[in-house]
Amino acid sequence: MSAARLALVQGQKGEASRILAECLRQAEQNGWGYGALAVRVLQALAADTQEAALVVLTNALLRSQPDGFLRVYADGGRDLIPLLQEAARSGIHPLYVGEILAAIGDQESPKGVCWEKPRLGWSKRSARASWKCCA
Amino acid sequence: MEAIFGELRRLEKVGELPELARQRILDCQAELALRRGDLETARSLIDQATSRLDAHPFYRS
Repeated sequence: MSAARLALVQGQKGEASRILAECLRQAEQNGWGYGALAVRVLQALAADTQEAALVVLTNALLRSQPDGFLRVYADGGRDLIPLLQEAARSGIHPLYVGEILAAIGDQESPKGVCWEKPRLGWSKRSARASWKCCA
Repeated sequence: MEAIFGELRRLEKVGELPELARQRILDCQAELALRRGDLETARSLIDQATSRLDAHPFYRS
């Protein structure tokens, strides 16, 4: 998905969408649930309109909330913040979205450069205890 | 982050790595380059990746 991330950084949403569509097809074909989730988060960033982005992001949030995944959203960076805020305002798991927003804020704080993987998974259940700044 | 990037560069030059391992190292370097805002390096690394690169095991769950 690096190519899609690069396209997003360069503002080439169409190219990013094309790459991500193929990534999603591959992830779904192989039953890679987390991979598909990671793709959907980037697809939200690649959407042409906020409305389209929210549809994709809502789909991702509904799928990930039971597991409480945070990192997959934190990797999306600050560009996700307004979309997440809008999702929360729309009533899409506001408490969970609040935790995601807090994770993004923590990750982007001056002290946090990158984060290492929690030992027992990437969900909120283990994140607080085991995320460590590896800067 | 620089230390990680340097270690990946070192790994890349270690003996005969399986192609898949080499591709994953390139992909990891590309991600780090993106985080650093070094788009030129990221592009160069991404261009070296082949379409056969599969998802990291972490994403295959």
